[in-house]
Amino acid sequence: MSSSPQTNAELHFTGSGVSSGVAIGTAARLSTHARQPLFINVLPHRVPIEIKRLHRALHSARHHLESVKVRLKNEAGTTPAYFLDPYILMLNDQYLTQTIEDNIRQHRVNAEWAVKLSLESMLAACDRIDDSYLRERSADIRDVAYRLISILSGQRSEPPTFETPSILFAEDILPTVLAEMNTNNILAIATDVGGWATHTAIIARSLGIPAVFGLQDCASRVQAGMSCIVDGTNGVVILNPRKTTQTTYLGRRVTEQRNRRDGLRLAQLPAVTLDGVQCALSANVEIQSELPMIQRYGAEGIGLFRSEFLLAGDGNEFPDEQTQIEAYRNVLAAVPGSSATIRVFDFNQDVLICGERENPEANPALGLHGVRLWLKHEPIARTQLRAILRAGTQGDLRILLPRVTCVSEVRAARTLLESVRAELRAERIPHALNPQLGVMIEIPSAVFVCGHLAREADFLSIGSNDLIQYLLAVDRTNEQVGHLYHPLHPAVLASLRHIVEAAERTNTPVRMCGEMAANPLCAFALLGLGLRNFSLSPAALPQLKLLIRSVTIEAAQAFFREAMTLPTGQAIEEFARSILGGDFLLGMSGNAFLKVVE
Amino acid sequence: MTIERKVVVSNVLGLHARASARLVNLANQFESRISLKRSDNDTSADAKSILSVMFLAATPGTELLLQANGTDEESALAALVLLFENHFDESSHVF
Repeated sequence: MSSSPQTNAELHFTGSGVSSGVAIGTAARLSTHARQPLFINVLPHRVPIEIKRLHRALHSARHHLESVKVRLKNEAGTTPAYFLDPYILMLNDQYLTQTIEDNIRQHRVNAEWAVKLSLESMLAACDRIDDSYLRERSADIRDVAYRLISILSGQRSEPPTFETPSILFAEDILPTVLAEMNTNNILAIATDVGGWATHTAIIARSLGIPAVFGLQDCASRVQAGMSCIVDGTNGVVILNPRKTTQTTYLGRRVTEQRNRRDGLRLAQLPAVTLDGVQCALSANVEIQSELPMIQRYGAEGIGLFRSEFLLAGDGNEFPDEQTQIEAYRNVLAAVPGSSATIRVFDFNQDVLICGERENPEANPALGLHGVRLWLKHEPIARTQLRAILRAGTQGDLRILLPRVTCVSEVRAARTLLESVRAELRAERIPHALNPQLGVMIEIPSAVFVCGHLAREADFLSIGSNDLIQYLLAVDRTNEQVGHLYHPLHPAVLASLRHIVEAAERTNTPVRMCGEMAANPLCAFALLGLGLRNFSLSPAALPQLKLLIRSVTIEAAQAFFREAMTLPTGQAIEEFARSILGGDFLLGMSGNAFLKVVE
Repeated sequence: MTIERKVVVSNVLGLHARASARLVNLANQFESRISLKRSDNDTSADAKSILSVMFLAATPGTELLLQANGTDEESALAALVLLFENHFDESSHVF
């Protein structure tokens, strides 16, 4: 095809793996640049006609996206479908329509040129606002404008389709474009720009299409029909792979598919390491609709029920005693014979009923929250304890206090619990006699008094997400510092080891109820530092079990000892990766977790 | 008569595209004219226009004055305040 001998050389690109999985196939190109719209100066009498064309295009675009939304909902679920709402609303937006109409009238131009002018002024307005998160919005506006221009210039009525199974290459893919495509023949997606958090990535993940974004200059080097490999798990794209490379990836693809299939079967196998150490896996639950999935994913109990989600339903009224009793009974019923732990309402001040909040806090993370706020509002706390005690007649229902910083908080909660129990006894209402009371260790001060806490509490639960944020002073959702959120930071591991030692010394059960254990590299470290009890969102459990069943505690302990001599989280991550090995990690689903930090 | 209430953007991401969409969808269920006004720089937005809301660039912690004027102003304001208080039903502040 080409005279250059370089054409068939194997080329490697790395980007960010945003949706896991391996695909091997032939390349197809998707041109994503909207053609420059035609500029036409229209005569005054044509102005109303252009405005009518605009309205027709808006209507047709809106109608189209509504139908895409319905289809996406069926294929990928409700959450990804809602990503289309902002686009649909924009097409309905008076401000947008008015701006474009004004441009048609003022400049006497055709509708498509007026859209282009409006887009430019809106993007300029976006640029003027000094906030990085607006980048996402300018992309949304551009998406809508390109869509209108294509409709107006008759360029596209049908979304692109692919006759044969293909790996799709593009500079960029707009989220609405991916959403509207028939993805049956799309094996994988590779783009030059974009990242983990884009809407396009979210849709790719929910449709289960392997994807690598942020490949910089890959798309321009691809020719349609070229043979290629996309490894969405490791963020690698290979063009013109050699025979040996192909064989390697064919093997990986088989392993990966098998592991994914095995995930659910795995749920029914015991969580035991290769050297015979038993671990216990339970589920974190937010909403009651998650309850039916729990056993399917192999959870032995509910390690954390976030009761504040009972508030989100009907409004900011706190649920009454009867409503709470029913909710907690449902929780228990989902795990017959096992325990369920109810974490008492963990909220910020702003959740409180209107009017009660007088002084907004400058710094809510360091303000009135968790057990502090719960103890301060005794009627709310009493109602919740009554409900837990009453529901607890039907099984092992436990109580967990959030954001504890000091032993006195546990004592105050215990006093309250005693008083509520006395009250129920006096009223002759059946209730649990001796429910376990535990504390969350998620604030650094609690780490250092956890020996004392362990003596006062029946069990400890480590909230890894908050603990890491407080320890490293990093808000992981803050783009400027999010990359510093590193679960394998030596300070985090040392704190966790300290907690486990205190628990062992006092013979107190300890469990981690955070997403840290969902990451195989981190889970390996957690086993090494002595944790055996984990609670995770149900879907992440098979993956953790796979790791547990693939390693020995001896190896994990040796790793941990060595890791604690390393100075940074990155160094520890690399070391863990070198031990667990790429092939093993490739088999794990959910590549988000493979990178400890994005 | 216009009635008003102060709210604070308390969800983790601020009024990003999806949160704005929820807000605008809700606002459009009422007849009243509804606006959002930033306490810090006095810019304001029409709660029924997603672009207008998005250009308000309300990051987490921004204080907004919700104003409603019309036949159903009371219920409109109550519903919108609730949306803010529920952090747009995003769950990310826990853990």
